[in-house]
Amino acid sequence: MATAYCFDLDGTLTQQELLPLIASSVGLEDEISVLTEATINGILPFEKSFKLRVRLLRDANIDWIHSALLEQVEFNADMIKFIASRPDQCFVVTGNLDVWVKPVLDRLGIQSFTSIAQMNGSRIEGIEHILHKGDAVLGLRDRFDRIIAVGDGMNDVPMFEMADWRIAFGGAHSPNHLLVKLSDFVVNDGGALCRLLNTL
Amino acid sequence: MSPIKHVVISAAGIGSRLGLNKPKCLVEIAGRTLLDYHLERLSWAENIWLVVGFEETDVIRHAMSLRNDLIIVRNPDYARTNTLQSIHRVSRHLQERFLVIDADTVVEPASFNAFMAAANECTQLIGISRYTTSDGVRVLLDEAGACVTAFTRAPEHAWEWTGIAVIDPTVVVDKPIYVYQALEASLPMRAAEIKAFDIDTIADLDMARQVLADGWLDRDNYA
Repeated sequence: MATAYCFDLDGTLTQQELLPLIASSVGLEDEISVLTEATINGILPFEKSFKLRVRLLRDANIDWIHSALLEQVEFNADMIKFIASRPDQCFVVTGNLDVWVKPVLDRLGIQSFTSIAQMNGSRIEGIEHILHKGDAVLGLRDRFDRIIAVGDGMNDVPMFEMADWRIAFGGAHSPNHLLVKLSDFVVNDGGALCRLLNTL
Repeated sequence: MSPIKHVVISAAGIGSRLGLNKPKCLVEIAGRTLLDYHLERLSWAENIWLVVGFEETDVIRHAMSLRNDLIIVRNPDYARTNTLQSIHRVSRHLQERFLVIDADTVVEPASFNAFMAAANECTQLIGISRYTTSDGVRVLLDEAGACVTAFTRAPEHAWEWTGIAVIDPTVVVDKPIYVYQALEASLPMRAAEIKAFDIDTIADLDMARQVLADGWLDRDNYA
């Protein structure tokens, strides 16, 4: 039986949320955090909030963002080891923007599904496509019999709805309440997550 | 025997007979919850699977504050399913024998450690106790007193099934029956004594408070 492992990126594979890091590279962390909170609390739908956040941050120098991410993003060692042991079965499924998270994805070195920026040269014009995480899972169905999803946020709900096993992960912060309600397992520790993934 | 790597604690139930409107694993005795005692006693365990249901948010929050590397297993059907089905949510993923414990059980640590040592000598092992309770399931032993030969609801027998056992995952079926009924297919099974009892009623809770305050006196000392 072929199993695919779909991981959210921000706060799941990475030990930090990425948008606050991106925002802090241009001094907009307060503004972005208000939008993030509103999204987490369900006041603002993810799609609208993400468009607003991209609008706020689109003039930020992409090289600065990349160097901020490269300097500050950390991974859990057990999770990196797990991914390295089966790179063809592991996928990053993130609503984050491709051009922003590219260096983080390059470090992970596995296939990813992201939102896609609309570019004008090296400048972000807007968003060409916002990833619906359920579509990513659906796209893996013809290659895999079983899909295990790992995530922490509201925008992971569609991924959970399409997966066979669902793990709410509280590595960076407690997982979203609704996501927990849709999950089979709740895990806070990277080592425990890998032991669970190896058992399933 | 290979060492036991997995422990399943079932903590999903409502505990309606106790009537405290909180999960039994969060009931406090001598200032600490039953879950505190379990996780302290199981600090050696590589994988602890905690099955949650009733008031899961409270249970998850407290459990994770005690030990962050737990694997929480959700049983959203807790109101319509029983302990065996909660255990099955874990056992269906396991390939090797594991320790199972009810979260609503009070356990004396030294006898528990002796039980775990005995589990190194046989593949499966049932924990039995002299600390009988009003509605506990009793066990019948063979002549040598080494094996459980039957379970019974008849209260005159001296040994009670503790809900603690080392079992193979194949024993656990996804059926609405009691755990002991699933074990019946594997009898006779080796038994070892643990000083333990589960808390179903206020009388059980009173006995729990007494044993933790005064030590584990003989069963006859309790009402």
